[in-house]
Amino acid sequence: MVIEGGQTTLYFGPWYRKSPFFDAAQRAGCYGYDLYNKMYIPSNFADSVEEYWHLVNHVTIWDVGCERQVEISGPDGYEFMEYLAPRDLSTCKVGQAKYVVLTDEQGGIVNDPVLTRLARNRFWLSTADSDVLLWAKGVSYHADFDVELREPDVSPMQIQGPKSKQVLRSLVGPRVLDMEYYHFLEATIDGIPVLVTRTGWSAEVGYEIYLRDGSRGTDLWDRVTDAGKPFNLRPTGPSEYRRIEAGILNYPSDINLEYNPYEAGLGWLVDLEKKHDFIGRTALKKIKKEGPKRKLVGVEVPGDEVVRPWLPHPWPVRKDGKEIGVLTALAISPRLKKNIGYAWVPTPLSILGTEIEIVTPAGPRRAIVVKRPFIDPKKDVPKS
Amino acid sequence: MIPGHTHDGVLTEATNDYAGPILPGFRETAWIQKSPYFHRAAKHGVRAYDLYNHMLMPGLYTDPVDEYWHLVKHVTLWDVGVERQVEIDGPDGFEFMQLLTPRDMQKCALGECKYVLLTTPEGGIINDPVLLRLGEDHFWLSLSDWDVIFWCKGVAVNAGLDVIVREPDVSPLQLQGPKSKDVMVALFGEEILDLEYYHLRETELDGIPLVITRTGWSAERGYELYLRDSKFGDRLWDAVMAAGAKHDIRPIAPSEIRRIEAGILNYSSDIMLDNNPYEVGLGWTVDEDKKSDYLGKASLARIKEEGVKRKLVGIEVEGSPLGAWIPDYWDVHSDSRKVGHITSLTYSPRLEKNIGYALLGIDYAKIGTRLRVSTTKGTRGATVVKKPFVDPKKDIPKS
Repeated sequence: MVIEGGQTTLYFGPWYRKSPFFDAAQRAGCYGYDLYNKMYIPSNFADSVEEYWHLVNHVTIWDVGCERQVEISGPDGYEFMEYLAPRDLSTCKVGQAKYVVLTDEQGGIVNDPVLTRLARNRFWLSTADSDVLLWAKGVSYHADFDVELREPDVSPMQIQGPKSKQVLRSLVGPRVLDMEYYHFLEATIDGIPVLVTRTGWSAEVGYEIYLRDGSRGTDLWDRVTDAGKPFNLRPTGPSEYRRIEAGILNYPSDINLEYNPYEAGLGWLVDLEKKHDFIGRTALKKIKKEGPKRKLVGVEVPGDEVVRPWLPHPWPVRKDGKEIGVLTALAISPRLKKNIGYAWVPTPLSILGTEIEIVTPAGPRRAIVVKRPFIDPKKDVPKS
Repeated sequence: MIPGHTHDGVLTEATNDYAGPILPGFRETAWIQKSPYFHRAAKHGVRAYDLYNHMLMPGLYTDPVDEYWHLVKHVTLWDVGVERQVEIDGPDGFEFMQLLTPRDMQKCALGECKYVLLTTPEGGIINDPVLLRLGEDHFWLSLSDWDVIFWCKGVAVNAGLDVIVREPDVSPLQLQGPKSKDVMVALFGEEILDLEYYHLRETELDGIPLVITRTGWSAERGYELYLRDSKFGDRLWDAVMAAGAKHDIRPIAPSEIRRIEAGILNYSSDIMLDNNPYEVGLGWTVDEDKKSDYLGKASLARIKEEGVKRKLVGIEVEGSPLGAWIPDYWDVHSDSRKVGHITSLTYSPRLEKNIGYALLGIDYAKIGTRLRVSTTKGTRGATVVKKPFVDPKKDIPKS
């Protein structure tokens, strides 16, 4: 089976971890993988455009056990969490989830996890692909916080798509319908302990089911796929098309330690005046005052043919023959019928309508700076 | 032969007893980075990649046994751009480095390299890099697999020390095998032979900035060429291949067979965060007379006094070849009781045995202990043996 966008063969060693859903996903026909947090993540079960339409019209199940959790607890758990994140968490209630960035002393982005607040002093950080446990453990040295940091036995799956509500109702009952966007509830499904959040990486209506017992992966997968049958549930990988349409960023390709939240358009996650001190405050204040020197912008490549299903590596961006930045994501949106993506450019070139050039392996192409997200900027779809 | 790609895309066991399992269908994406040598290496026909520090590393070109013999007899070139560096610099660089490792940096002269562990306050192992001392306060940590930059930056936040911690644009190549010295002489002249084992030299090659070390992951005679500007990747690769042509140089992957024979450990399989130095046989990297404080000092003293509860040992598994590497950490049993797991296993073509390491409860770690291993080819008898399996004094790489 040819996988679009380039494929290689991977050495299959025990040093890559397997999610509790690995066997079930293999059985369901997964044939393409990514690696994320040193763990396999199923990326393809069928053609990626077909998977996209299924996500947008029906409901899909994703093995994202690779979203490893870092648990923060102990008497100073809340204070430590405030110290790690520039976002003001005083308004984050127990039972809520928040998208946060973690920053280093220079304001660089360490990770962009979804945080769940399980108790006053107890949090899970559902991490993107970089080791937040090492960061948090390092930071706790000499920091005078009484905290416990560990990776708990917790592995999420995502149930995404407009019919996900019905699937979840059938699994955990009607109370799930009352749950608001970025909130969670604790439940058991046939005796399997889980936490269900109304979050996801698709910007469709969606949920994540956090499995709390790694030995029950196949059981949970089977139970969910059974419940999903009447609603046409099928396994897919996370959709690169859908997340780019939605303006969702991917760590470490779109953002990483080299970039700060203001440049990445994530300034709304920084509360410079919040009560608690946090790592990176001084640097971020200065960056905000001076204004970011570069920006992550939306780009559109004119023409409706597929430039590349997704990027095999970042491509250079040029202006007037001079290299000025890098393209970090590109995919053809099946519904917009356009090649859309993100690029890092100097601030003066971030004005909407600016013409730039991306350097593809097949030669340079004209591209235009456009607004992102490309659809549903207010997130009405996932909130509905 | 080893399957390169399959059509149905499911996980395949190797069809050759001497090979290992591979997973087809790994997607190339923008978030998996490539080394500066990626395209040059790919031209030689990479059949499978390994993922290391968020980057692709050639994991197999021809056949692991074929590559092994070439390494042992001739000279080989490895694309190990995945060995990312953490650079420590600034006025308090030395103090910071002392804080990070149980090894005493007072005993590391300028221009020297050291194999070191980075440990947590609990004594767990963060990583096992090779350290290069480039200046009084200037170090590179040439990492094994994982995000050590976050650990170092995290520790620096409240350490009260004036340091710079960053990832420089540095990408190593390894040149390993008995004829590596001939290739190095062809590239850098006779005086390169003065470079001692675990020492470094800053130099350049036709304007390409380099640090050369006499180190490597093979326990053969070998060197690492640390390229200091990734835009010269192609040129450096080509220069080394050209200089090596008459010595029969070949690109190969790091050899799982050779490194296990040598007792070299692999972070992420043989060593993990919840292992301490004593239980994996790396107590020698803990300088117990080190005066300055470091992360893990109190815990390691306690662990040493109390003794370890489990131990990483050498193991021989009976019967036919079980492949060059394993897909899972196989269980190890004594009678019917699980007493540990295999962390690495390979078939050594010259010893004609399945050799590897197992992490076992201390009661089962004595040399000569008889055990059973659950392999993908059924249950096999096994014996705890001494490691390394060859050249315990490292006479070969030092020669």
